[in-house]
Amino acid sequence: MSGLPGPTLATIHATWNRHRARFSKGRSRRAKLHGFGDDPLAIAAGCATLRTMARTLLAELKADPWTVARVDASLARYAHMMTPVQLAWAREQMFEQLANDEHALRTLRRAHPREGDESGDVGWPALGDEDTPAVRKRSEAG
Amino acid sequence: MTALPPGSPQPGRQLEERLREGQRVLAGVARRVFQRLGGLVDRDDLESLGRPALLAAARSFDPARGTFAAYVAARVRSAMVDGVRRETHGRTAAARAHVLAGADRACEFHSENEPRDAGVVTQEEGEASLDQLLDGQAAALALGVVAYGADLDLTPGSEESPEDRFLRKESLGRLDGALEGLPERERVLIRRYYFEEGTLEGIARELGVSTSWASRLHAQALESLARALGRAT
Repeated sequence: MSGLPGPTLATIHATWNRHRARFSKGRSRRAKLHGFGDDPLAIAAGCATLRTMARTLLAELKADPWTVARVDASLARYAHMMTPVQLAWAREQMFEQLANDEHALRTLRRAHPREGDESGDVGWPALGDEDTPAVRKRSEAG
Repeated sequence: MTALPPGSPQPGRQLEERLREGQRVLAGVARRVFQRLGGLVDRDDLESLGRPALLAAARSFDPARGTFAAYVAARVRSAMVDGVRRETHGRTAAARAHVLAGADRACEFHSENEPRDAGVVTQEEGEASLDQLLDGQAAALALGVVAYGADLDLTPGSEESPEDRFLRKESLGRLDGALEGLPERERVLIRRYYFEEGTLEGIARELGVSTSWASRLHAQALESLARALGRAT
């Protein structure tokens, strides 16, 4: 895929998913599964990791030409209605939503062209997405 | 509380666990809303605004609808921005909260209407879904910016040139035309929500529809506007 910083973005997504899974999958046995015990400092440290990753992901998305083109195309029809500062604010809010909202991020991952990195690993999760109830149900049954 | 699958913890214990997990989500959402509002509202105030929604979400969560974290995040975020709009946190904070609430509503509606058993989607379907989501967000944010203008306190970096003024006037005329072209209920909803600071709940009552139906009308209206204004190339 030309012009995509694919491996970097893909790596971010894969890492993000691993970290997020540690926080969401074991809801009822959270401390044990996360390996953080009940130590609030350890849990806070885990959350700080997530925050850092969200910031990193936001920066990666803003640097990804495919995502930038998609966001800008949606905003372009309103460009002349806003001042450059207002437009920049609206654009920032859209990227922020993509980086932080679970549904928006999942929608982006499904749409984004996938690319294998140099090691041959495909960094993006399967298009069917592991988080949907249907997929969870299948994995629980299997 | 929904029926529990076999082997699930007791309801009281389950509620407690959800509240514990939700507390972490609440703190994360408060941090995010704090940033989105440009630090205009105290983070503790935001957490207080979201706490009743957390309790309600912990009680009403249905595991078939997705993860608890995502469910509770959407609820407490709405409660926080609604609270900032209602309470006295300054005009700028209220205006930004109102605009962001519209964009969040559009995203929530998109999420709620995602096919539950979609399985594997093609890339084309994925792209169409992403464009729909982004178009809704862009329309909500643009309408908010146009409606609130100076209240958002986004100071222009430089003077507007005569050409910019002309283009702005022309674009606003097109937006007005697109709004006029909406079906009546969608038009009323958009005008009341964005230009008269109505709440979706209040507008739903006025229109004699449920809030979820008003949310659907809102999303449809944003989609129609985006379509009417065309996708620039």
